[in-house]
Amino acid sequence: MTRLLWAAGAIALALLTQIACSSWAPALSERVDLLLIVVVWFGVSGSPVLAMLSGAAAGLIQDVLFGGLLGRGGFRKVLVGYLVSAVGSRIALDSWWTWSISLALATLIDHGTGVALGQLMGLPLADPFSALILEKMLMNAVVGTILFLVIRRVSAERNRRASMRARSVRRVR
Amino acid sequence: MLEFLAQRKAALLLGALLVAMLALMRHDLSRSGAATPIEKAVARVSDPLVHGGASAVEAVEKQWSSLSELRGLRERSAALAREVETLRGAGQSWESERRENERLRRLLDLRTEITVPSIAARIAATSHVEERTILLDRGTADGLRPGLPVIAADGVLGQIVFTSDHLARVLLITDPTSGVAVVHQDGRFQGVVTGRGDGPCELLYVPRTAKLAPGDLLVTSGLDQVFPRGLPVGRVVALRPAPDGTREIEVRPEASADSVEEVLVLRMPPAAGA
Repeated sequence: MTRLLWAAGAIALALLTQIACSSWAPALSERVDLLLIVVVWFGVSGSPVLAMLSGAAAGLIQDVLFGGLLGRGGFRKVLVGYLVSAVGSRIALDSWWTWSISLALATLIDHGTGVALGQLMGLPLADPFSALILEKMLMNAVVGTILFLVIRRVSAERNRRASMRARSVRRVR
Repeated sequence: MLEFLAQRKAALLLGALLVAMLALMRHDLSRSGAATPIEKAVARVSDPLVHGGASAVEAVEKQWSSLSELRGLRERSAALAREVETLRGAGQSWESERRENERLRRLLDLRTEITVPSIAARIAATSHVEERTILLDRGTADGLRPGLPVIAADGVLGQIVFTSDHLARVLLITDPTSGVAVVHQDGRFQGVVTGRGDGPCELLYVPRTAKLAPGDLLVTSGLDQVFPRGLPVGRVVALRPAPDGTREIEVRPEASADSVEEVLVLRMPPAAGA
């Protein structure tokens, strides 16, 4: 339950930031998908259920707020969440370069699935393979990796403090 | 059985979610335009976030500009220079307010010129993810509904495609799936302006013999029963021969979502049969 709340909070924060970005830096907002980064984070954290649920929520929010066929964003992000967590359960995705590769590939899968679904549903994208997708892969990898490093650092610091506190409590006893 | 389900929890959830998304897509393709309960629910949850995001942007921008001014003031040692800079800052603020006033005045002028009742709205967010869309801070609670045209002071911006209680999504005319029936400013011929993604649009279905030159203004013809007649849409910027023997006519939209903050939604009466 706590993890679900964390996921909801992360999605809300990503959405707020994405909206703010669309006003301050539209070019950046077009190239960075913060909701996808949240889904990949839960995927690399080894939580397939959370990755898929957050993917479904994030994708549906994108569909409703930013346009597109309802369900297409959800489908893409559920698939990305599952694939990243499936890879994460076999290979340790815990270094900056594995995160970068995961984020870049997740962006490609997200885009490719969207293009394929569009073709299947008779709603092809206008420019499915523009240079923009490469920029998105690069930007999502850079921004996502930086965010993951920050989260890991903060979480490690919190764990260190918690263990120190526990040790000092034991000593007092 | 329960053990089997527990072992394959992730795969089963994946299957269920993908099937649900496919069902949603299928339903979305076949619906008539009204928002589905899922869309309404998602929009209801996201409403406060979008409004919060837009307000946060405004608040942070105000704070940031105050901070920038403060930092600038500290750096200046001489009192006279400080005063000059303060005045300059005030001048910039005046200039920004003057521009906003100008924009609002033009919008107000336009509102009085147009006979159709209208409602003013602010742009809460823009998106270029799949469709070229903007989000407005008004929704069905304010009387908006899908199909209504949206204009800025310079001309046509797009059409509402989705509404929730307090939000409306507008498909811009620069989106490849949009189309606006236009007529040349002199009424010489008619055509359809459609988007090509980012940047300029394209003018289609124009007779080969039609005389056109860069700079020609295209206005709405009203034939699409979405936009009232006579609103500026765009200007012809380039004419190139197409491989099939016709002409490729590039049109630059008069209004751009990137340069406006306030828009007017025209409350057109529903088209007959709609």
